[in-house]
Amino acid sequence: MLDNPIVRGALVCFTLGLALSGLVRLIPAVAVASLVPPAVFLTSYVITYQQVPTFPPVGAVNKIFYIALVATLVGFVLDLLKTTKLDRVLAAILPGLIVSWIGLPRFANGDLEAVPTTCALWLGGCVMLWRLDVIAKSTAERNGGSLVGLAVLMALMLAFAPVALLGGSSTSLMLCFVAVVGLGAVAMWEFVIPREAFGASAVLGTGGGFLAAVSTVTLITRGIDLLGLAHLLLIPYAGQLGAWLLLPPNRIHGRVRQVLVGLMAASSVLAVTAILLLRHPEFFASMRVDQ
Amino acid sequence: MNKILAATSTIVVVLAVTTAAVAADYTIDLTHSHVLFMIDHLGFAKMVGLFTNFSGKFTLNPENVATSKLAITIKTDSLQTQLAARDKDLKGADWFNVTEFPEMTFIGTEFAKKDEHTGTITGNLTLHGTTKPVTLDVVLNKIGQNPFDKRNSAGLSARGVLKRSDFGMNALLGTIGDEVDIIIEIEAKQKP
Repeated sequence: MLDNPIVRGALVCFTLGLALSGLVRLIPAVAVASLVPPAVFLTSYVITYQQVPTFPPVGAVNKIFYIALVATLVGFVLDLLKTTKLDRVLAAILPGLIVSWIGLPRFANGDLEAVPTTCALWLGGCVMLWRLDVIAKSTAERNGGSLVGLAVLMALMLAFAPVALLGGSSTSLMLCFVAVVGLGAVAMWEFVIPREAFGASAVLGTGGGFLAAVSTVTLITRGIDLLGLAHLLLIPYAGQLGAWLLLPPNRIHGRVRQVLVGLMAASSVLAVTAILLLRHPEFFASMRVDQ
Repeated sequence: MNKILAATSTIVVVLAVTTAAVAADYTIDLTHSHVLFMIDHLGFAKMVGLFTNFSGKFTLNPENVATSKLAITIKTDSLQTQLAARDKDLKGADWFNVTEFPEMTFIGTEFAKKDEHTGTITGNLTLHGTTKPVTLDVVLNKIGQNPFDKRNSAGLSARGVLKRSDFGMNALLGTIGDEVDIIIEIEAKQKP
């Protein structure tokens, strides 16, 4: 098992997530705890791409690292300021900046085909970050909180992994898998010793980094199944919708409610995977033979 | 690709060393030229890829090899590895990134003769947005008239090794090899 780079990377990230998340329990500050998920994402990046990219970054893949890093730092400042309104404003603006920067080489070449895809990514990114911010800063009784936020992030990455593979980026698949395992370790701590919420650095840093990876595969590698990708937007809503339909109010509380909401959000991963399998059976069959 | 470019450069140098005393300009004959690379896959075997679209020209100056010139351009989108899914992956942002870096170039900077038929070409390879020097060992196979089109031609073989990590292509290092073997076979036509 350990000769598999994905397993090795996942193990490192799991250990890191467990250690960092445990350590920050000693510091009763949401701003500090919120740095753990983006730290896990950045570590996943370094493990996957085997580098801390040079600055200024050359190419979209290198931009992913700096987008996640800068978004984390901006979020950290917002967390220190204890503001929520600015978070939401950034959740609307940041996706536009991320997608535009990643897609810049195509615009520079006058590639007009990139415009509608970029707009869709911008809009989708806004929805994703906005919902993540709402969920991560909500309470268990309102079907949110840090545990649900982590579940949604993990579900987004899990669902994107096969989309990325199909889109010509097996490396993004590894990035997502490794990050999900690391975030899983953080989620374990959140379950055992829960915090009420995560701050902006967790949402903007991890979500922004993830959006940069999605934008890179979509705009630069350019082989993505846009229908499959669009279904990722179900994930930030599936948990709340499922809770509204299935969980009786005032009877299931706290962590149990969060776990159930998180699982319902994660169920959308199956929907995305099923869509890809139905639309591209020959691709996944060829991958099976190839491996 | 870098290896290919470097190999081509070497070929040019060798030609310059061994050909007649008059400097001559050559253009690569794409139909009889090949640029391949090999990279280790999990330690079991080497995967072979090739680029089908490239162009180049060189000037051989046998009397003064050091003044020879070489410039080769390879279209990264022409990469083929006999598996469509892998080609898509390798053309993507994680590897060759053909959207942002549609071309790789090799510009010869140093031409050296070893003996009658061999030499080296060192040049600047630009790949994946990074430029680094690469040296190719070149063998001049033949210089002479092509019996079919009656044009003066030169045939060269070039080999080299580069590290993909030098060019920022670090994905899956430790699993997929870092060293890339470059194999270049070139036929070139002398310009009229």
